[in-house]
Amino acid sequence: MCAEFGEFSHIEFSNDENIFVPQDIELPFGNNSSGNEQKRVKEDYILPNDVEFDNESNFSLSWDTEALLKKARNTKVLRRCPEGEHMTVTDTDTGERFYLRIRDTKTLVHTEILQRRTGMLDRNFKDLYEEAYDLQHKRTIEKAIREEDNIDLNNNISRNLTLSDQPNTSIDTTQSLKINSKLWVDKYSPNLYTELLSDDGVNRKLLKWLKLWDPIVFGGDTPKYAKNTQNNTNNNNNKIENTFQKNTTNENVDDFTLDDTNRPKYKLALLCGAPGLGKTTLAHVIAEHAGYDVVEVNASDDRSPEAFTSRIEATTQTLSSITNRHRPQCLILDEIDGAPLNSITVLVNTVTGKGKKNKSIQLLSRPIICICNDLYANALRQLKPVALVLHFPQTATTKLSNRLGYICSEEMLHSNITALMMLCERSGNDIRACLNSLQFISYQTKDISIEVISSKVVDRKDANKGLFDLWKEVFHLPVNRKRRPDAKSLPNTGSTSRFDKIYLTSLSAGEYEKSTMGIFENFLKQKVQDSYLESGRDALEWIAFYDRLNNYILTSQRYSLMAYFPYIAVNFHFLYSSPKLPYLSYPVKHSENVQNKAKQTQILQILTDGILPYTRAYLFPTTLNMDILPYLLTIVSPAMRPINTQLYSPREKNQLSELVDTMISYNLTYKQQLGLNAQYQYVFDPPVEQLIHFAGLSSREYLSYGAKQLIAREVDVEKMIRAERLSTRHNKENKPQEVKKSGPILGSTNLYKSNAKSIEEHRYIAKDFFGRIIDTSNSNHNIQNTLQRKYSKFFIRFRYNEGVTDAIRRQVKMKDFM
Amino acid sequence: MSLWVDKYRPTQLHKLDYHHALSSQLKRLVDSGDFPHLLFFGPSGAGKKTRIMCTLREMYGVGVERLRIENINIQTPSNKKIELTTINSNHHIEFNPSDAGIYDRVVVQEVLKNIAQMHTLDTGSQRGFKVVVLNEVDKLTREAQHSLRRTMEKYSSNCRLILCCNSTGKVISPIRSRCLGIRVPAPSHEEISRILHYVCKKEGVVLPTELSGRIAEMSRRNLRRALLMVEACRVQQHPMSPEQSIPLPDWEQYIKQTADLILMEQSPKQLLEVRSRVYELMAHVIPADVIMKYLLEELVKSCDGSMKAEVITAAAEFEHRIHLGSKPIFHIEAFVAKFMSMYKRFLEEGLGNLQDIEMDF
Repeated sequence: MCAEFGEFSHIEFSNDENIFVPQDIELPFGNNSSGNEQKRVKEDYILPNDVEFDNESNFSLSWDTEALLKKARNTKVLRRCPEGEHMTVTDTDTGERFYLRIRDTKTLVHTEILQRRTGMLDRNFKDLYEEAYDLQHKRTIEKAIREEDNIDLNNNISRNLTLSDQPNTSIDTTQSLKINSKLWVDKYSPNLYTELLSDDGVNRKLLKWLKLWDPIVFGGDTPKYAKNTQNNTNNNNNKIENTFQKNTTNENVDDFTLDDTNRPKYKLALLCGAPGLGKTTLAHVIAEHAGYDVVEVNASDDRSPEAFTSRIEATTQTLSSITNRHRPQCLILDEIDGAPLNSITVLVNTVTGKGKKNKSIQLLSRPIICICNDLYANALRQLKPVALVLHFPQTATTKLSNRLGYICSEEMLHSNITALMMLCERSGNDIRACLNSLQFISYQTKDISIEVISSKVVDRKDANKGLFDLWKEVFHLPVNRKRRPDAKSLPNTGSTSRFDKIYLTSLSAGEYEKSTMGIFENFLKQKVQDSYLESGRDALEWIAFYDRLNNYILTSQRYSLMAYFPYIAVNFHFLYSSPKLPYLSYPVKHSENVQNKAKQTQILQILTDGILPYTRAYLFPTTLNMDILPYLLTIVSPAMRPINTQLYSPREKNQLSELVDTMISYNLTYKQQLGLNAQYQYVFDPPVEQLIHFAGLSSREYLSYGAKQLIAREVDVEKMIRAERLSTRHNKENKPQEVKKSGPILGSTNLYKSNAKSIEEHRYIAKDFFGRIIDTSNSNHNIQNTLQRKYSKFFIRFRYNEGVTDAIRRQVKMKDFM
Repeated sequence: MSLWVDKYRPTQLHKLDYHHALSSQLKRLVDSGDFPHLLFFGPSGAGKKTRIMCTLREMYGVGVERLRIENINIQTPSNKKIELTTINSNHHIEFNPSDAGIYDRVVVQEVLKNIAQMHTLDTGSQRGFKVVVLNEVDKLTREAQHSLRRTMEKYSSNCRLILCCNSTGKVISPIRSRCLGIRVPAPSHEEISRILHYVCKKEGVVLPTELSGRIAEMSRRNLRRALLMVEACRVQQHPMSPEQSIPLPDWEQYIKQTADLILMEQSPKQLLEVRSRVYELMAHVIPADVIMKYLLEELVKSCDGSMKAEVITAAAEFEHRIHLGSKPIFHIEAFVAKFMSMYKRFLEEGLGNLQDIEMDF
């Protein structure tokens, strides 16, 4: 840099003579040089007393004339040869020789540039330098921590505390003293793992998971707790350890297994929880802690599939993802529940290694942390199975209020713990909301008391609670904290406040249809004293009330009545809440039932559609289902000998034909189907058996396989014969083809479905019919007749249409056809 | 037609086996040349449809028995396409407006009006009007029934309606007043067993009197079901014996079992079990009011006098609510819960009294 300047100045200076008189210089720099360069050169080599520097206070102060002269002596272009390193320059016009002093780069940087150019920065250099030093210090500590983490995680946490405490607090104090205009949320956001307020279990789980990436990202050994699928030996010790761990920490050991490419089983971590629990902070802190550079993509960024792909690939898949900080990157996808479904698909495909270009996609080599509020968002459905899902529990009120207390003392605010706890409770343990309201209050008063908090200044957080939250609140009776001396002042657990709380929650949750279904499907599972089932009775009255009201609203469009819906949840709370945490499930039974019903109704519809008109005239849909079908199935399965029909007695033959007749008139037949045990069996078609039978009642097997086969064939044959008869009748009557009347019997497709036997039957009849024709027909038509005999299903159909056609007309007599 | 129900169904008014007075009345009505709109009502299996068809036959001759099926496509104002199946003869048209579900109003307004507006082309027939048979009028929505009112009056010159339903309770009174109501009561037990014997004789099967009595009893005076029962009995055991068991449909057995469960134990757990069974029944397309009715019948059997009245009142209330709401399961379960609560108190009081009596001794 220095040399460059030297050269530059050499050329420029050589064109000018005035340079020797530095007091009144007007530097005619080349037109091509930019303003910035101009400035730099001026600073370093000349003394521009008339040059104005904007907004550099300390700079302008030093510009008195004496100093200028001094500087001029120190630096400038010399006529005599100076001591030390120098450079000679010759003026092209006069041939005079000048000398330029060459300075050491280091001294230039330290003494010249930094000292003078601090004015360009927004802060004092001294401060900057200190901060940088602190940062470096901190980083070395973190590095040390990380290395120790690799050895043992659990030990480390305690040690972490002692190591990191000191420098951290110093930073905090310096910051808080100097900068007053920062939001407290940012100011007191945790920078270190140990400062995190969120649940320890979740923190540790995420950190453990992140550490699993170490062998891939940083190299080195896998952490101890990682279970490798390859060398997973099932020795007893291991098992005992596992069960022990499960019992104590409630963690699923399987979450931390490695796959065969030595990467964690879950490539993603999905953090979910209400806003203000510190999810984003946790992700950032932990990623930093584990030695990653954080790359965040949130809802403000473009999240189209293309942008997503490029982002993911840029950060995770390329090996050169080393920035100037020389740390690998960790991708944090914030607010992912709002991302479009396609993008999520891209993400899942990248993670699982699926996709169209399977080979070209590299294996994921960097961790990705996703953050969402609503775990049940539609977009996340396919993400959940491949991700390590971490639920954020509510921050403990005590933990949060302690932290608030610390902040209050830092900010010189008077506070008591009760008031802070009340604040926490009001905001629903939302850290962000707490801090914001605290800061807000601090501008008005320095004394945080219960009165201030309970006044209207801090209102309840208007949280949009999910359905599960609502159900939980409905069925959960909060424990009365009477032991506390100041219990009266706390939001109490009296019935009025419970009423209000449930009412508001229900109101904010909305979705009354779903919430009511959830209550309906869960309330009977609650353990509540109800010996005479009176609460059950009352509760169901309320549910029934909901149904009537809802129906009324929908039919009359009086939506103002919806105001009554939240009270249903309130009533259930008073009838069915218990101190135990409820076990809840999502309501699916009703929708399942609706689907099943629709399926069965369709079967019934198919059956009805095929029933012969005459039978159908006497049928109603419900009578078919309730009265006829149960008996019909018995009636069409009489005891039969599964032998050749030729061997049947006349009575048996009669019985069979009646049976076939019945089946046809009710559109029933048998269909061959591959059963569960890989055996072929005949079932009713349409599948009416499932419509009639109930689980738990003895399902009768009506007929043997052979008998069913026999009947199925006879039904086919009979259908064909009928179709034949009908068409011949039309032929005889010379009536136009009746298409409308076609039931399944007339359907011409049946003709082609026939098996070998049926064709035989068919021909026989055809012959009988055509035998008569031969008698009457001319010899000329013999060929045609034989042809007809061969393809006996085709008939000549004569249709008389009045009008003109373009076809060739020829006189044909009826006799010729017959 | 091979099921005995279909095979031995009379097609002419003078061949009907019971309600002879009604038959002759219908005959006189037809003979008079013109008749008002008719509303046939009565329980299922009493022979409403048979009488309607006989009347038509009396009017138009054998032609009405030549039936064909036609599909009509309708488009609702919300652009939904519905297919409606009609059964036609040359002289009449029959359909089931409630097939269209909530769009039945469209069916009545569009289809029925179209049919009614068209004059009969067939001048050769003896009547100047044609007949439209509407089934399941009681299942029509209120709006559909209202749109039926004016149509009935306006086009009465060339169109007669024959309405058919189970109960007039759900038919609005303006429609009832425009029709001549014809009640077809269920046949008595004797009439049923007489018919059963007649059919069996024709079939050449011996039917023991005892069995026919039992079948008549079990069929709940539903002739269709009685005939099906006899035929099923014949299939099960060829020479029929007086003691042979009569098969019940699965769904009836299932409801019976459910009632037994309710009587056995009254607890939230049991209520949950009952709920799943009701769901199962509904999935098998058993109407909610039928479930309610059969359940009540079974439950009432084990109640004493005063409680019977209470239970029936409650059941009536909840059955009514089923029709006001849209999810029958809520109301059925509310009824079950109420019954359980009542029944448990009743049992414990009974137990207490018993203990008191023992103490006295």
